[in-house]
Amino acid sequence: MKLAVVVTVVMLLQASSNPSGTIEGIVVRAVTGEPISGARVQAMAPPSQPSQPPQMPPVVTTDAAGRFIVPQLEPGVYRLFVSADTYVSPEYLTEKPVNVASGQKVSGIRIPLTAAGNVGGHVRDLDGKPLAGVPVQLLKPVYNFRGERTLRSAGAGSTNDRGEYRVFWVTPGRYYVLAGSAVSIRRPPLSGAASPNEMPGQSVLPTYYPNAAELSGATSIEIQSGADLNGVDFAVERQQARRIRGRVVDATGRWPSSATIRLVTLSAIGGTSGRSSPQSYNPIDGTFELQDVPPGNHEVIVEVTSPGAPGPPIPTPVIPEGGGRVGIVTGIVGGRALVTAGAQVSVQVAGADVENLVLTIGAGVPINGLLVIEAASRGPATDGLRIQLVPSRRGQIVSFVQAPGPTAANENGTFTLENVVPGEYRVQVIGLQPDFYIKDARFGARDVLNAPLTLSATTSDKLEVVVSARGGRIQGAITNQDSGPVAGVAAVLVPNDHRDRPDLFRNVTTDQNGRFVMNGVAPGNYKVFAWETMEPFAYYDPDFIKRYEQKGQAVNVAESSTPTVDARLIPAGQ
Amino acid sequence: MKLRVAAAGCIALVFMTSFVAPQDLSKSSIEGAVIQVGTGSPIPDARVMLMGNPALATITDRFGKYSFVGLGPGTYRIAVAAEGYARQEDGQRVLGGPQGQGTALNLTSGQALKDILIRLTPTGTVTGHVRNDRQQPAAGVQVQLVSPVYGPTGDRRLMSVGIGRSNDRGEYRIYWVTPGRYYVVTGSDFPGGSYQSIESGGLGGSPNQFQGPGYGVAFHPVVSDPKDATFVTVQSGRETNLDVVVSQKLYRVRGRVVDARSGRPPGNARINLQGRRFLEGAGAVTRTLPVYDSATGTFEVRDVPPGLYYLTANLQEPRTAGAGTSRPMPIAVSGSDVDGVILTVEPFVSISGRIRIDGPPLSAQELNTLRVNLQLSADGKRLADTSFGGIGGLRTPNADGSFILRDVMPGEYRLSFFHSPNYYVKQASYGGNDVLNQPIVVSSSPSTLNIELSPNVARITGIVVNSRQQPAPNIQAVLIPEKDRDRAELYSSATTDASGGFILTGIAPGDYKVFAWELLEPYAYFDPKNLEPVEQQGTQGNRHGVFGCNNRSAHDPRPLMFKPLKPTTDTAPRSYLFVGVEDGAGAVGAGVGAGGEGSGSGLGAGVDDGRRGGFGAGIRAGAGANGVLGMSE
Repeated sequence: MKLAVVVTVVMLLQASSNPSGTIEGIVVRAVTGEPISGARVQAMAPPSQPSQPPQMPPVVTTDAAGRFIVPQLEPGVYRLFVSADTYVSPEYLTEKPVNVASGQKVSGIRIPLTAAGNVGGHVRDLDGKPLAGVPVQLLKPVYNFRGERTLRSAGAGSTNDRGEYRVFWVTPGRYYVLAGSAVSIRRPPLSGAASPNEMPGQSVLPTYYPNAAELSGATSIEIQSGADLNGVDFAVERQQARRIRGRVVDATGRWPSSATIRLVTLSAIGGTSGRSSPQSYNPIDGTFELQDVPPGNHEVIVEVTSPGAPGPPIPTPVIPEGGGRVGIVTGIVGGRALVTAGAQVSVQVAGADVENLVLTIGAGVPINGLLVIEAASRGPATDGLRIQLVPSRRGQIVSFVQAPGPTAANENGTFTLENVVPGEYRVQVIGLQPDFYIKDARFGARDVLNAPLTLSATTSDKLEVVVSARGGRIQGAITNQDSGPVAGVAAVLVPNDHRDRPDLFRNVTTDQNGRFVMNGVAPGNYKVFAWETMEPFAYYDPDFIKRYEQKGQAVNVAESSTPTVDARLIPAGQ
Repeated sequence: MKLRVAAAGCIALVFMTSFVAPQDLSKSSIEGAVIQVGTGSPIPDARVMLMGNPALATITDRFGKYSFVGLGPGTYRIAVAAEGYARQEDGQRVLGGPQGQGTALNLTSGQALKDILIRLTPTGTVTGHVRNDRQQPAAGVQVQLVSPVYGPTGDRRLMSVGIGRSNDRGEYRIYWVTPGRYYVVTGSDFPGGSYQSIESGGLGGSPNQFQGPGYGVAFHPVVSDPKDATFVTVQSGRETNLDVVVSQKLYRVRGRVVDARSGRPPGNARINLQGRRFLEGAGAVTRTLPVYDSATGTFEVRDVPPGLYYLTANLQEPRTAGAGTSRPMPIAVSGSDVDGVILTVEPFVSISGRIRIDGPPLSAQELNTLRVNLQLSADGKRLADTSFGGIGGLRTPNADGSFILRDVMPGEYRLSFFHSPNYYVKQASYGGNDVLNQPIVVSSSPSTLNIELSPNVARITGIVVNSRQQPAPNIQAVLIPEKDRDRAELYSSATTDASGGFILTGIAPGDYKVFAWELLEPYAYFDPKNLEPVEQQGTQGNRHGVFGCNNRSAHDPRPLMFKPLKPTTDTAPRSYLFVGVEDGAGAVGAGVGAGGEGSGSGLGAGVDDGRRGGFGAGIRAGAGANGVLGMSE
């Protein structure tokens, strides 16, 4: 990685002997065509290799007539980033790439920007008293990097002591508005908190406009270009944080001598946040108490660890290639002890304390398994393979639950995952070589590749995982309407079946010649798409794909096949 | 420090026992009311928090009354928070001061404490417009009120007491501010991080905000150095209007890198520009992209907002042969580009040393906890505003006391130690020079560091009394050396118990004074200007003792008598929040937000990158960090 950076720098310096080119143009307000002064323009060259991080280019600013000149450009393909206060900044590069030849002055680029809108209002309690420090978010239903349908924040504000909020520079469109957040009740002092004198333990019931507790009862509002929408007011219920109390027992009615109680809060818009405190468990009678729990949906997790045992590394969420831009849930800092038993209960906290919650722990059980490797002999390439169970809920991976660490197989392929706490998991194999793919995963007779693995305390099933080195390799190019190569665009591979498995998707960026390579593709039928503009991860949305189904380039991948497929860029606005 | 922790553990243990005991009739209670200071009017809906074991909370009724019943015997403190009032602990002397400084209530079995009145002070508001240098509203700009406080070694730092953020009209409003005098800080040190989602603990904003270099950290009125800043006074119950200006101008920093060995440009160097750390708990983020030309040795960092920075160049990866760095170069970017900066890189050196004991050898455990650190200094003063950290963090020395400090860049440092309280550092020399009271200057040809520890530490016991000669509980007794006052480890403090008594342990022989202030902000005693007025008083009357402390007479069992001094410094409310000292990761931890240990939704990528790109982040940030902290308590 470091080396790559150095190489770029050297290349830039060497290239500086070439006569440099320029890009000139004008930034205007869409529809009216009025020039925008003070807009910031950056010319970004796609990286010469997809793995390389893009470098931040210098910023040029438009003059009073909206004109800009990007000077001193080495020959190459550029995309322009444009941003102006009060206007929508395109999420991705909206303009067509600009090819700059040695010494060429490219001119006449016209970039229209859409004026953003603003929304404001008051948040009061049911008695009409203003509520301070309440977050207000504009939310849009989207897909995240795991292919989950979720809500993305398109702007947010926080009320002041008068209960006023204002969310500004919102991209025009329809949004849900949410006041209050189940996650941010316990903001630690001074990190983002408006005042250290805020009252701890205060919360409001997360409420969607107009005063609905659930998204299903919400009405979306329309933010119009260049307009202020005022009076989006809320009357929300002020709530005290609650307490959750209960006890931990095992099947025989005994309780552990030490345990960690975790509280995982499910965010109203997807994602989780959690906290844990060893002090909340009383080993003398097996009781626990969690304080300051905001109303909302939570998971209470108890983990019994074996003291002194080395902790497994933190399981990382699976992020498909090219999907690393959005981080929603991050791992846990620090080492972890080995969980020997645990339990998890979903709790909805509303208007009262939760008492007598019983967490019945089941001791971890061992899972015996067999790793079969096809088409590769055991050696350095396969030594790095590890089988891992990642906790999931309804098939979706969650991060705050302990899981057995990645386990290597023995010479003969057998492996044992120790101390697996009963629950739901997704099976993963890490350390896959570029051409490897997971061919099959079975627990007993059940398919656990396309469905989660559900473990009971009494199981004796075996986990069989088949990894094959015969993954397909798709290569090709993305071309525009004039059959010219398109550099720096995302080439997206979408499976025809099992679209609920993000690991079957690929998202790679084309190089300077518009070419791409996708490795380790499981056999099956796929389509390759390339959108000029696309919201992140939109391809996980079945409705989105349905609109473009005919525009994808079909490709059949067989084991060890190397199909070539060229796809046509789907222009913006189609 | 350790002692205190151990004591807390004991209390917890005692409580556990009582918790499982069968219900008895000897439960205790605390009750009282929360009222407004001055007017005495009751404050309903205030949250009263009982800190002890168990920790409980309740809400005052419409008469401002609260009660806690069914309590076990033990020590409790009470804190109160209410909307529109400054958070206050019962018995707290400094408004907005640190937690845990209030009066401890000792509850005996069956005792009913009544009429515990807690008076709250109404907060103030600061509001106004943020405009850019073209007089247009500046959106999404963070505006912070900060209070100058003392760090645990007497260094000055700024603690945030309130944050606001401007909207598209440039309006900001910082509410519920504890009355006091504050600096106003605009902008933030995080490039491209202007939009922070609520779920990641941020204050929101718009994703359409420009994500590039924005407004750097500046003090009102548009100055880079806090020395040039003006205060804003926040009054109780009042709204203060303050319009601020932020500069949008960006500058370049240019210079060249020279390898000290060859006098030529190094083949490979990485340039880092980090903001100087003023704000408590804030991490320094490496900003902008460094471009280094190995042919000419020149570099240029573009798009730098005005501010105070440190610039460094480092060679290759740390911990490999030929790795090295330049000393952090202070840079002030203000009103113009900065040119002609010369960064001289030198390879790291290793310093070998030896610890000798003036007495029986250290136990294995004491040897294991021993640390020797080097902290960057200039003119003998530790640089507290760099996150470049200390060097060393010596792991367990060999059994014979020998050790090696690796990867030390040549330059000036102060030594710091972390050792068992049963020892003091008797002397330290480097190449024959005293480096205990003087800085250590490391050149490219290192010398040997010799450290002598002595077990002959002194212990001081005493009693603090008030003007009526009655014992003064919950007062800090501070031991201050007569000379070498730049050695923070010679200072010591203890809080008096219920009978006014205190014990100071692990004292190095020498001449000291003991002071006891009735009201003094934390660590302010490191500041000579706070000592000067009382220093003279001391030689007269009985207000504080001046005494020689050596390893014989200090064991004199007779307690010394001390009287708390009247407040002598500016009595403006100050506040202090304890956050890690040198750890550059502070801001990162803070940014994680929502949920305490183990949480984290959406850690700012920019922050993460900044850290990784930072100078020697991994190797030394932590190393030098903890020594001083441990020393001072």
